[in-house]
Amino acid sequence: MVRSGKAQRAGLTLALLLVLGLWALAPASAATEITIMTHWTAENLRVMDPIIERYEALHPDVDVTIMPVTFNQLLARIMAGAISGSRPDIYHIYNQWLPALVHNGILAEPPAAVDKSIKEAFSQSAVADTTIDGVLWGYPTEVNTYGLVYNREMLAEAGFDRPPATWEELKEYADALTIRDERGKVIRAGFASWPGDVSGVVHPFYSLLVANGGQILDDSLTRAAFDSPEGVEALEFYASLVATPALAAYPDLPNEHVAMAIFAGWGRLNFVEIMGEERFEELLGTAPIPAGPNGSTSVSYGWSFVVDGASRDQQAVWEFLEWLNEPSGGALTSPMGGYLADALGAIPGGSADIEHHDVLATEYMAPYIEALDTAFPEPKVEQMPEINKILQAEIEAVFAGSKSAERALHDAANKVNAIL
Amino acid sequence: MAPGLSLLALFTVAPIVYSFVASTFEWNMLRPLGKSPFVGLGNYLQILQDDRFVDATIHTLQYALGFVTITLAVALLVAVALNSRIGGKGLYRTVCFIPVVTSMVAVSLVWTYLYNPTYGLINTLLEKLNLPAMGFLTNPNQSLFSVMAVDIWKRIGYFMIIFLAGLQGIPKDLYEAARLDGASGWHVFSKITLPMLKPTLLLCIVVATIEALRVFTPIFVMTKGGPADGSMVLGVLMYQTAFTYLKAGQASAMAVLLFVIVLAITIIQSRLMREGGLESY
Repeated sequence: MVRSGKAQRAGLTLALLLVLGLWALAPASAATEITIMTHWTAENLRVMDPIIERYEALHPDVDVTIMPVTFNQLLARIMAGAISGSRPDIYHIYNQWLPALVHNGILAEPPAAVDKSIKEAFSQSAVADTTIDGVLWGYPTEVNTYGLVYNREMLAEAGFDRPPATWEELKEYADALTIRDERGKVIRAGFASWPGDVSGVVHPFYSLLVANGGQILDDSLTRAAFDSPEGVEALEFYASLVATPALAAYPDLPNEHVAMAIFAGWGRLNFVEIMGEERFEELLGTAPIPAGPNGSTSVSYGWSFVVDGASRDQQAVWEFLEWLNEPSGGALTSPMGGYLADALGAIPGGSADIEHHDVLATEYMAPYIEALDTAFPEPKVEQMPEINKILQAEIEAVFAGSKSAERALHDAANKVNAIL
Repeated sequence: MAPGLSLLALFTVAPIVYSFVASTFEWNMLRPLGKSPFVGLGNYLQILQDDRFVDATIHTLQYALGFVTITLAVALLVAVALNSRIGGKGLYRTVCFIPVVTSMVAVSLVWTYLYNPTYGLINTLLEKLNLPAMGFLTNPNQSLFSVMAVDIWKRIGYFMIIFLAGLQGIPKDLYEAARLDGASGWHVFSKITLPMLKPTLLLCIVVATIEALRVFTPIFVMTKGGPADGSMVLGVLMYQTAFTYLKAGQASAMAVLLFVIVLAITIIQSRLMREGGLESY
């Protein structure tokens, strides 16, 4: 028994020495490892991987690893990493999550030179959307604005030779384009929302609210302001456009059961996927959101690359992000801008990228690019995801006819004020 | 025994205790629990005053009541039918059991298409029968029951198999004696089958109730609690509260309250069944 214990100890010591020896003899790995947590899909990675490989070839001492998770799981994974300590160097995040990450000390501020460079090279709305409490926190990536998407053929058949430009025209078009069967069931909606989705239900309301002279929260960001008379009027108007919640902007617009919808620019790729490039080009047109009493405006939201405060080699991380997001080596566009515009059909935050990508110069994308000048970002408060969900439920209740616009906004404001 | 208990303690008891502790902190999972403000019963008071929690609790109880009653009634009827002398029993059992072994996510996606108000199969059939189209998942008053119907359809086979096992354990001579005494079919069922099936029934009621109160997947996939929060149940609200609103402390408080609800209902059910004569088994 004693002998067997000694033999075990000797064996363990030998194994330990062997492991240490192998570790010492192993070739030196890359000096700097950079990890990125993102919601990119396998299809997105097919485009991004060669870009990353290009950087690694230029910087052999850097090894970049992408940690992809689904969009629905991204925030949960960021939270799990924050508790477990297993944190990536870079997060690619939806900017609505920025306040929570900033206020909990998760992120690192960019160096002064990077801050200056971003402010000079990126669009005003992109910079505003990545700024919390006056501090810019990272590289804006995509910026999303809203426009009116319409079916050219349906408008032409109804005798309209141009898209609606005002609220009155939008209502007139929506009614004229709606078709019901003999039992009164809507078989084609002149205008549709996208129930079940914040960007499909709430963001169009925000755009109409501000176009009507209202605002989402008060100036101190501590109380709801959307329940103002302007807000009630905007919601009443919005609900009057939606002939039925049973038809949704997505996927019923590309499936040709819906004539018009207020939709974000990223919808282009999804519409093409359903309709095919040729039918999409032939059928779908875009225009600025029809103007209300306060003009035409769109809410905007975006994504950005931010750096974890615990990242070990922050200089290398910011250098990598600078290479990825800004044009370099005489190029007119950045690698990330190319990926966003060409592969995703999204609007990049960089001004040079917006200017030099052909896909963004198309007639379809023009209203979305134009909206960048007047677009307003959602208020930057930690509770914004919850506020959006509260409003989504209340607006859907108005669509379903179970609440009046005034009652719904009053109830939503009570809930929002309780959490602010 | 010890390794088993250790695993149980690590993966079951510890998370439950942790949830109790987390429910007393204003915790968002972005900072350690110990560095989060202690709020005592603050999270409980907040959620009890929140209409969304109250509505979700009502929806959860409605769901549980409908699910347990209909699933078990249908499963019992099918089991009794399959326990009688009919041909092709194996085939019928397989058909009833197929939904049980199918993924809930896949089933939910397929039913979402079937329920589609414009081109879904069910509405197309309704129209062919000259009946009005239904907004199964788009009407806030129908969405909870539409999802419940899918869950019932999926789970009937599972409970049917348990009932079948219980039925086959009832001594046949009881039925023969009843038949010799001239008992009707209903009398045989109510005086022999049901009483003899009581232990199985209790098991099924408890299991079905716990499952229904914890419902998450079909609602998350088919409606995400909408439209207008019409199908919002506690499981989905908890998930949203923790992972969308970053209020893990409040979500833990909801989990604790759900735990209390499940425990209370289970104890009441057990007592009621025992008072009905279960102790004799």
